[in-house]
Formats: sequence, structure tokens, C-alpha cells
Amino acid sequence: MLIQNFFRDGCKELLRGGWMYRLWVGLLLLMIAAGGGFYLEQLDQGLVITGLSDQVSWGYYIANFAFLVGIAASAVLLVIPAYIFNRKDIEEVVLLGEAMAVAAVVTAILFVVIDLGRPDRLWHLIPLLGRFHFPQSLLAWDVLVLSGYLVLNCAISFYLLFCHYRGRSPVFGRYFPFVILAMFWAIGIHTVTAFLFSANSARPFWHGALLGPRFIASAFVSGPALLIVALQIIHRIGHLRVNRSVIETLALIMTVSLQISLFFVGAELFTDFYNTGSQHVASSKYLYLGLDGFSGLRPWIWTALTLNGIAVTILMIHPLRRNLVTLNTACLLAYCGVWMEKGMALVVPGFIPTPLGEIFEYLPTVSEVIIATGCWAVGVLLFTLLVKAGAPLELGRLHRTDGEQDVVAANGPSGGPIPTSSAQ
Amino acid sequence: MVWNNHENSNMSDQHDVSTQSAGTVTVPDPHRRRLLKQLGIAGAAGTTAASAPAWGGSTLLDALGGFFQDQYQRMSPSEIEAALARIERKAKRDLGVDIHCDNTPPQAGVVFGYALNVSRCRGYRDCVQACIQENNHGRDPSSTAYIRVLELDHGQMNLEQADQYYDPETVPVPGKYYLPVQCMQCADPPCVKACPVEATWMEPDGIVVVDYDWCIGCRYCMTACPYWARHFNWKQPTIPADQVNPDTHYLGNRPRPVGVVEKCHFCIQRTRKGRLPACAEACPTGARVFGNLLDPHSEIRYVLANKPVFQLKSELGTEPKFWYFTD
Amino acid sequence: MIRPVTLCFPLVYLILTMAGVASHAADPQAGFQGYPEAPAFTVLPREAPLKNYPCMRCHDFLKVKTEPRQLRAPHPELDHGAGRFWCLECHDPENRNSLRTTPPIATNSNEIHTLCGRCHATQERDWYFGAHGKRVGLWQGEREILDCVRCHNPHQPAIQPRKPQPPPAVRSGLERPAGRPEPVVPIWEQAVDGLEQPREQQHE
Repeated sequence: MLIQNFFRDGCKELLRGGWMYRLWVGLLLLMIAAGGGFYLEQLDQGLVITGLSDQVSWGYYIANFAFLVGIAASAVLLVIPAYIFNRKDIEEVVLLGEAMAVAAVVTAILFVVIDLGRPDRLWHLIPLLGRFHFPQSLLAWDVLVLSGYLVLNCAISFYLLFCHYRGRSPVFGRYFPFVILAMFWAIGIHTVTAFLFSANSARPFWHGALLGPRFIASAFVSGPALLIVALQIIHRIGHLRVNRSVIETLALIMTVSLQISLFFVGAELFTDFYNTGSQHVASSKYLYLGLDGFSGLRPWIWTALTLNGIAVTILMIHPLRRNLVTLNTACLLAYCGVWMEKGMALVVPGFIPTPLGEIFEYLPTVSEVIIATGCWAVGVLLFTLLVKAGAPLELGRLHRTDGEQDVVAANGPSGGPIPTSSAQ
Repeated sequence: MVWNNHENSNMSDQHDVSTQSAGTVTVPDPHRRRLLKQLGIAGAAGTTAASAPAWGGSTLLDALGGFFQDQYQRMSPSEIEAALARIERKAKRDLGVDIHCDNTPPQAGVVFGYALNVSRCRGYRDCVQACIQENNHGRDPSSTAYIRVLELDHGQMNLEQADQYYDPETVPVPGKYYLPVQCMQCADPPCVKACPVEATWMEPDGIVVVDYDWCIGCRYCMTACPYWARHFNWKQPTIPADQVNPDTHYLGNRPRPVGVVEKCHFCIQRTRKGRLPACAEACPTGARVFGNLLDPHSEIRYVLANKPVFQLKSELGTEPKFWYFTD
Repeated sequence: MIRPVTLCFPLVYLILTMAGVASHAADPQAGFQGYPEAPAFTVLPREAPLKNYPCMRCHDFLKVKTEPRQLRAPHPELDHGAGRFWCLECHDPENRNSLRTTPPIATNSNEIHTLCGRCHATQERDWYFGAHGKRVGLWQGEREILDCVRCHNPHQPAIQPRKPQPPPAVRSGLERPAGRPEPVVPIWEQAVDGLEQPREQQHE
């Protein structure tokens, strides 16, 4: 009963909100509808409506997938300081990180599903019912860790929020082991996603031990970048008070990670380019310099590196990092830079040249981009809704109303209409 | 096609179909209704399917049967029979052709191997053409092919310098040599390892096969293959009725659905019955040697023992069962 | 386990011997006796009858002239052996319906490999064992192979260049890239530091 009320109250909360909230949700729904419409066409026609080919068989969808797993994994960056280093300021916003992880994982899984040629056969992945090729297939690993991560984060968030709803303080022993598990799991999901690529000896561009570390490093750039911006927006809207120290901690993590990430890129560049002409450098040559007159991704990667370069410069100068305007600029640049670098610039060159040496370029089609945008909209909508329902719970503004409340939540007015987020 | 002797025993049956549908795949509605009557599938399912191909061109019953169909290796004999019958019905509905689909099992004591004489290959691509016809590849100009013949300069082994789209007036071009590449049927196949749903595996006779009804179309196997041997059905392949090869195998050349991966299967529908693969049969220079690796007196074993041989990308450790040799 | 193929091998060999494939085996002059260890085979019979065969239809009435000279139709043009030999190297001067080997032993056109093999011994050996030539029909059971002249015109044995089948397509809706890899200049045509410079083409 209580659980039903919990979900009912949460859903009621989603329906409240000012015109800005409604406009925002409406916009996202519109994008989802557009994506859905084109996806129906993809279901009907097949993946022929994308720019993919036998030569480049993974593209924009999988690029976004790889990037989003990184976003999901970096939720751990709020969890570790909050629970391991007992940073109370961060603990207050840790559920935002969880919400981001949940939204990102769902979107990542969605990107894999839309990339499938036969989504109707998705049940073949269910162990026992289907045939789950575990532990041989890295993709099976990925399915396992991603769904596990989703369950883990949903469970932790649910437990914490439900405790808030009931007005009780969470029992440390009940959730802490899962928090610890989720931390390692977060590193796990992104490592497995990296191994998904680096496992292929057929694709020299990915087949290196550095790919896993590179994935983690760049995830710890894009995740905090997104969190810093999201936390400020949520703070502005008035859902949650976000302490400045949280932003500063995240900015510091991001600075270090971006430096490491760029160092890894440099290390790869050296091994690729010191020797002039082995087959293994062909993909890198295509990416950075262009190969045999084909250079579709050259402007892309150099833009990404430039964005990351400017971002790291801003972040390394202390006054600029502490200034919110420059910090946000750096976050935006780094986020886009990593999205470009770990997305298309990582996935596509793995296929160019093909194992038979053919150079066949890839460009996503409009349909493909709209479908992908629809997926992104799903993720953003999910995050919005989770925060919308979660924040009042977290603050204790939303709690059980059946009169059996034990402890009145400390902050936030109890009862009465909640000040709408978009009022400001 | 001197040696291409498909027994088109069904030609008389097909005749009215191929004339009616004029060599196209989309079967007109009246025709569909008549077919359904013939098949004895009436009732709600029948009318639904007859008005529009709501279930991917199947009846509701077949669509459900196909949806819940188990993976090939786990199916009971009766389930396999039902699956084969569904395939034949679907071919009749979609392509207007009576095909025969079987699941001839592997022969005991046989592991297939292939050897290709690089010094004999002259780049005619007759093997490619025979493969397309034998294996019911789509016939629209954009359809795929299992065999790619690479043209390389003398003194070169760098595949990045290879050209598979060569189209001069005559081949061989002076100063070039030709290297046909197809599935190597690796003994340690990375594609099989990659598949998350075990839709692809190695049969006891060494052929790496795909269950087209189990593949989810994630294309991870295409990423894992070092020989670019796997190809994806980006759209529904189309074959004119009179060009369909009616002798098919469940794991081989039966018409494939959209959204799944396929690959060379050493013409499993032929080789398991003792026949040579279509590419070997079509090769006009005798460059292709096919046989049983377990038979010490086989031609392939002679080649491996007496000729300078190499495997493509053998350094990757996939142990191809496809060798190249020179005179 | 003894395989059926192995079992039937001596039998087939016996039959072939009787049929004349190895008919010269008893001849003390004959050095070459085939490769008994090669898997048994049957040669697929010639597809179409020869146009001007039997030769003796005409040559019965003509005097034998052994000196090489230019021959006109209906004799085929000879482009074999780079001018080292002519008709009578292979055709029996006494009975033109027959071919002959060195040492001269009459063979008929179904044992053509014994004739070709006197020069092309390596290819003949490979043909016996299956590394040269072409098997047809089944990979299993009876081994049916084509003989030399099914692929090589004995008078012009080099296989002629011809138009290849069409190149592969790319996925529908996409286009094949226009560019081609830049041709690599072979080492013998490029100037490499520390190596001798390529010489000017002397001939022509």
C-alpha cells in the first residue's frame, strides 16, 4: 500500500509544474515522437535507412552508446566522495548522480536496441529462455553489466527515496554494501564497453590495452561536465540546493581526468605514428590525417581535440575554473569534445579501412540522426522526470500523507503545494 | 554455366507464378489469397494476412511460430520439421517459388577444407557469380556477395593496396595478381565467440553457420571477423522467381530475412551431399581445391603437404581452414 | 578405420590398367607408370567430337612429310612451346589419329596427360594428386577430373584473358567511393636512400 502511494505521489508530482516545465517536457516528447516515427520506418525498411554498410557496420548509434555508458559510469564520481569520504555536501546531491546514471543506462540500452536488425528477437538474450552466450561474448557481458547497473542504481535510489518518503533515515547496513558494489560496477560497465571494442583483433584501431583506461578517463570528463551544468540548472530552478563545494570538487576531478585523457590520446598518437607504415596505423591515419584522399573524420577529430584543448586550458587556470561562466564554457567544450572523440571518432575509424583494406566512408543519414535524437530525448526526459519526482522526496517535501509519519523531515515545507520549479 | 546443374524440377509448378508476378517479389493480392486457400489457412489469420502483409508477409500462425522458434541446435526434430515447412511456405508466399529446405546433417569423419591456388586465379570472378546464384543472394544491383576477389600489385601483400572493384576490359591485368577472399571457416572463429545469442557456431564438419532465425542483427560478429566475410541484410533481399535456387538448407542458402547476418557456408546444401561448392565448380582455371581434411588421400591434404601454402592473417590465430597455395 | 575410398582404390586402378590408362606399363621401354599412390580417378570424357578428326580421313591419302613448315587450315594455328616443336612432336606420323609420347608410344586422346606430362611433369604430378586441373561433380566418392585439353587448347595452351564478371555492389542507397588507393611504386622503380638508383629503361 505504502509503495503504491509512493509511486502515486511521485507520479502526481510529475504532473505539477509551470509552463516552462511543461514546455520542456512537451519539447522532449515531440523529439521522441519524431524519432519514433523514423524508427518505425527503420523497422519497416530495415537498417537501409541509415548510413551504415557492410564496410562500416556500426556508426552513430553505437557511438552514442559508448559515450552514454561513460556518462552512466561517472555517477560513481558523486557516490565515492559522498559515501567513502563522507562529504555531506555531496551526499545531498548523490541521488542526482543516481538519476543521471539510470537515465544514461536506459538511453545507452536504447541505442543498442535501435541498432539491432531484429529487435523483435531481443528475447533471445534472456538467459534460459533465449541463449545467452556468457561468458564468451563481450556483448553478453555488456548486456549483463548494463542491466545489472540499472537494477542496482534503481534499487539504491528507490530505497533511499522510499526511506525519505516514509520519513525514516536509511539503514546504513542495508544500502551501503550495494553502494560499494555499484562503485565497482560503474567502473565495470565502462571497462566492459571498452573491451567490447578492444577485444577485436580484427580491428587494430581498437585492439589495444589503452582503450579501457581511455574510456574511463574520458568518462570522468564528460560525466562531471554534464553534472556540473545539470546541478547548476537544478539549483537555479530551485529543486535542490547545491553547494558550491560540490561543483568545485567535480571541476577538479574533471580537470585531472581531462589531462589524463589527453595524455592517453598523445600516447596512442606516438605509437601509431612513430613508425611510418604498418597496417595498424591506417585507421589512425584516416582519422587524423586522411588516407588515400579520404578524410571525412579529420575535421571532426581535430575539432574534438581543439575543444578538449581549450577546455583543459580553462580548467587548469584556477581563477577560470572557479568562475562559473568560464567553468561552464569549459564543461560544454569538454562534453562536446569527448562526445565527438569517444563517439564517432572512436567507433567509425575502427571500420576504416575494412579488414580487406577497403576505404568506405560513413555519414549518418538524417533519419539516423533524428532517431538518435529521439533516444537522447528519452534520456533527458527520464532524467527530468526522475529529478522532478525525486527532489521533493529527497527534500522531504513529499512524504507519506496517511498520518503515520514518524519523523518530520528537517528542511522543506511539509504539506501544501510545492513551489513550482519554473516559477523563477 | 556449364557445370551449374540445378535440378529445376519445380519449374513447371513455378511457371504460372513467375509469369503472374512478372519476376517481382511483391505478390499481388489476388494471388496471395489463392495461395492461402491452397495452403488451407483460412479464418481470421488468413484474412488478416491476405489484406496486407501485416506479419512480415506471413500468416499469423506462421508469424507466431517464427517468433517463438527456438535456436536451431535446441530444436527437437519435430520443431525443425515445422520450421522447415514454414520456410518453404514463406518462400512460396514471398517469392512465389516452391523451394525445398532440408537440414542434411554433417557426415561423420569429415572436416571441410579449402585451398586456392593463387598462381592459377586470374580474377574472372566466375566463382562470385556462381555463389550469388547458388546461394540465393538478392538480385538487385546492390546485393551482397560472399566472395571478394582482390586485385593486388606484383610484390604486394598489403591488403590496403587491394582493389576489389576492378573492372578492366580483360583480366588478368599485367603486373597484377588476384586473391579471392571468403569465409575462412576458422577453427577458432572470433565471430562465434562474439555472438551474444549463439546464433552462429561451428558445425562438426567445420562449417561456421548462422541461424538466420535466431540472429538478432547486432553485427558484433561483423566487427570481430578479420576477413570481412560477414554481410548484413540491410533490407529484404529480392530474387526474381525464375532465379531462385530451390535446393536449400536451413543453415545455408535458404532465402534470408531482413536484418540478419549471413556468410559463406561452403555451400552446405551441396557439400553435405558430397557435391563440390558452387565456387569450386565454377572456377574456370581449377584454382580451387575442396575436400575432407580428415582424409589423408584427399586432394586438399596433398596440397597442404606438397605445396607452399599460407593462410591469410594467420598471425591472428584464428586457424583458417582456407589456405592459399602456389604452384 | 579403412575408408571405402581406400578399399576401392586397387580395384579402380586395376580397371584403369585394363582400360588402357596404364597400358604401357608392361612395355619395357616405358619409364613412367603413373602415380600409383595418387587417389583413383576417372577422366571425364571429351565434351564434343573433334571437328577434323579422324585425321586419317585425309592423311591416309597423303604422303608423310616430316620437315617442319607452315601449315594452313584446317590445321590449327600452333602457339605452343615457343617454336621448339611442331605437329609431329605429339601426333604420330604413321597414324595421325594417335598421339605419341617420348619414347614414342601411341596414346589416344583420352590419355592426353601422358603426352602433356612428358614436358609438364610437375603439372602432371599435381594433376594426378589433385593440385592441378579440376575435379567436377562430387568432392566425395568417385573422383571425376577433367583432362588437360578440357582447359588448355593443345595448340594454344595459354588461357586467354577475358572480361571479368561485374564487380561487387555496395549497399543500396550508398555509392562506391570514387578514389582509389594511391598506387605504390615498387621498390625497383623508386629511389631509396642508400640503395642503387633505378636505371633508365634500356630497351625500347
